[in-house]
Amino acid sequence: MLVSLLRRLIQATFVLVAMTVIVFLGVNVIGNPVDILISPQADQAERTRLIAEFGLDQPVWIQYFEFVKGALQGDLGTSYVFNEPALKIILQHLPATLELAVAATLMSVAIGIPLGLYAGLRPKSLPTRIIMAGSILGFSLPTFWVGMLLILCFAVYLGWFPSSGRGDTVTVFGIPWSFLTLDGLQHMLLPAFNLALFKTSLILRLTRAGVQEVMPQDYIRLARAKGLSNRRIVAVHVLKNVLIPVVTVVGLEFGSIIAFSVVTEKIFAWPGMGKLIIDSINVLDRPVMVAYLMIIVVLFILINLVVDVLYTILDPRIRLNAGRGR
Amino acid sequence: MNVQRRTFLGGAGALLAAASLFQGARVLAAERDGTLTIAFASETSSVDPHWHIVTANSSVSQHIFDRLVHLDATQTPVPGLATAWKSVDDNTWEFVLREGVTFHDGAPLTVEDVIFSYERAQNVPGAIFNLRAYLGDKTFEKVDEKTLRVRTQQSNPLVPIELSTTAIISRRIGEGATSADYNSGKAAIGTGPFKFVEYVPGARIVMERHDAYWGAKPEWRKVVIQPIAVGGSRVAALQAGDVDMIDSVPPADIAHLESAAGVALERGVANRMIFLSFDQGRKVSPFVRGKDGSEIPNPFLDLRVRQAINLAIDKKAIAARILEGNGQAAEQLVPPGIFGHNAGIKLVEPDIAKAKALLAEAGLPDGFRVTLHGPNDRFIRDTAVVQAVAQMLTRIGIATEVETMPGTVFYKRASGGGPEDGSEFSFFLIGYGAATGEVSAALRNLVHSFDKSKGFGSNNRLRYSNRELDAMIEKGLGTLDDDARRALFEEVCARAMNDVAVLPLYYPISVWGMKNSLTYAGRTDERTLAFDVTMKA
Repeated sequence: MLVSLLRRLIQATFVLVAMTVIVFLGVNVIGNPVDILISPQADQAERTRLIAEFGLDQPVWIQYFEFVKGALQGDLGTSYVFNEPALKIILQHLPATLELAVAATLMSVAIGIPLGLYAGLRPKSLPTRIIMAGSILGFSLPTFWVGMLLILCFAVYLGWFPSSGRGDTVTVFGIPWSFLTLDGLQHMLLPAFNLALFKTSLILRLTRAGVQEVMPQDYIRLARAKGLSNRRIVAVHVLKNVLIPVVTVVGLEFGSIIAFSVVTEKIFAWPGMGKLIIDSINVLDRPVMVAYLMIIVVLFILINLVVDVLYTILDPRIRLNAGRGR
Repeated sequence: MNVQRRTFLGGAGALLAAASLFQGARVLAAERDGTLTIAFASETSSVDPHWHIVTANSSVSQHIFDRLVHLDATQTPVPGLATAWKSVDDNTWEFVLREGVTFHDGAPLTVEDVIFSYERAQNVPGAIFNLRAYLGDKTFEKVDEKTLRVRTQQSNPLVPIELSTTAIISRRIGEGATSADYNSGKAAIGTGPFKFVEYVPGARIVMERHDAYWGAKPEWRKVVIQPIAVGGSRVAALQAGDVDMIDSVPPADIAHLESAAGVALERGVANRMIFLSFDQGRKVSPFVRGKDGSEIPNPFLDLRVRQAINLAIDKKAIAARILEGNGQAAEQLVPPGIFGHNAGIKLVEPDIAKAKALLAEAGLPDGFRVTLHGPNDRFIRDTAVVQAVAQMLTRIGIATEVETMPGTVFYKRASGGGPEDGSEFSFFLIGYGAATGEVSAALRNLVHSFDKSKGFGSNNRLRYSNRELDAMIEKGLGTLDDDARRALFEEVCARAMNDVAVLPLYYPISVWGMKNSLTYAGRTDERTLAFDVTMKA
């Protein structure tokens, strides 16, 4: 296990290095930040000074070298827009995105798995048909539209929930969290639901398919023959076998919520990373763009690691260092 | 299977319970001495007042920090921390400091604070725009405890206006302070009507009334500013009562907000101009072709062609139909009320027949082909405006193709990389606005010939050049007498427009939405200032 973890870490480092090269070349192709940021009042001398101060007068490979040098010391550059370290800005926005992603994931698991189980166990009943039809809507409705509709419905007309923002926060370990206050939870519910809608449908359908596949299998029949209670059969034998694909998808989707919850964050004015990265791309704030992508790569690597570990817990046949374990 | 049903029902029940728990989450309406919550379309990137001069930052810094000279709603200088100023001779100005002004921490304002502020503003490390454009030509010295002397290298009538750009900070606190110190609040101590309370990037800025303020007391005890980028969400937040006021109401929402109960709209013409720019620096222009696809001499060099284009475009229709009232047809470089606006310049009425005749006179009876470029994410409905212009030009025989792109790409290509070290484009839509109000900035940067060494024409991307106008602009920039300067600039504006140096299309109209118990008189600099928001009597 330890060896395979180490091997993974080395792989991850290679991925990270490759990413820095790709990202760095990429951001250098798409326009000059000075043209976007500089005031119309600035004269030529001012432009030249700024270009030199950003280091943009250097060839790309020197800029890259400087970046790597800084990155090795934990400095991913200073944001052109915020005048603070890019890493600090992203870490400031990270908790908001994380808690929204966790809330949305929990919500989709809490709704998706029970509904999927039900639909799998009673494929012909009326509620199942309603659930399955609903999941098609969950799949196909565009997030921005559902988001606006949720705001219109629950904030503007009913007035149950606030329309946007993050609400009150409580600082724990120096990080502001909003899930610890009632106001924060109220703010979180609509955006989390909006994000969860698609995932719920996905998990629901995966679970249902899994249940239908597992139910007719021999070991379920054997369990029944042994006289196990229905509860135990479903909760232990069915669920455990159904969960493997679900865990994979939840892991991947968790990563993609963190990285790409842009639309929902924008619509609900949620001060997370998704909104930050889009704003940064719009003004070509290179240090923030690069640092953001670095962090996302690291997050994906970590999530995949967690997913792999979960596999081994769910299915003892799977070993992390496959090829030797068996 | 009972378990599943129970789980399912239990889950649904929990959701219902949660929903009922969350009911009644409403924010109280704004009231006198209460909290005013404003949503901005753009995010304030820093509390550091010298870091980046953009509307969202200037709006916030104006609450916390005063300037020596303030600008009123049409950007005319009025006393701020200085009660009076005068030019002593051609190169010297004297400003008298207001007495009894204190910083939020109780320390009195001194001349040293003012001088320090001007030094720091020019030397913020890595600053995108370090205010040297306004302060670089000046030296500051203390005459006595309440008098500041400003010396300029050449006679400069804009000294008061230029000083209005720079926030005054405390020297004791500001020495060595970084932008991070302002964001954390450690250094965010000014003399303004509001005190800094909290800044959460991307989420909110909270400010509290400074009760010892020297000026009029704001009606609000507390002000919260939060960024909501999406127009629809901003409108929803206003309608849901989560915020009291929003800026930049999207064009599509104006009609329904006008009839919505409890919401009022206020408008202000912005001191910005969206215009068309023609290639006037090259004999052959990259995107101009004859009707048969052959290379032809640059037609934009001919005044008659420029006039024909001016006659072909129905600016009023663009303002009314495409911008849906979010723009006012522009006939010159600055809207009414701004220093240098020439009331004698009239909007050109569209006249297709005359436009075609002018083209024929210029030797292009069949017109020519050109590509009109523009950004697609910078101005209100910019793509639609560009398309409308193209259609109007095609009507007189100038077959116009349209290409729009994100601003990030557009500005780079518009500014350089083309033949003869110029723009890549021949003809494009772009905007210009000056933080200082006066028309002089537009004349200096847009109309004056491109001159790298003197710093003139920095936005003259397509190299319009008229030596007579250059001389007049340079003379005007050195004329201290306001009336003489105004006359000179009005004359330059009239001649530049007759020459169709650029083709102004419209001035954007900024629209603010607010609860109908509030009023706000719009500003030409598009800033949203909480202390100017009042309850209706």
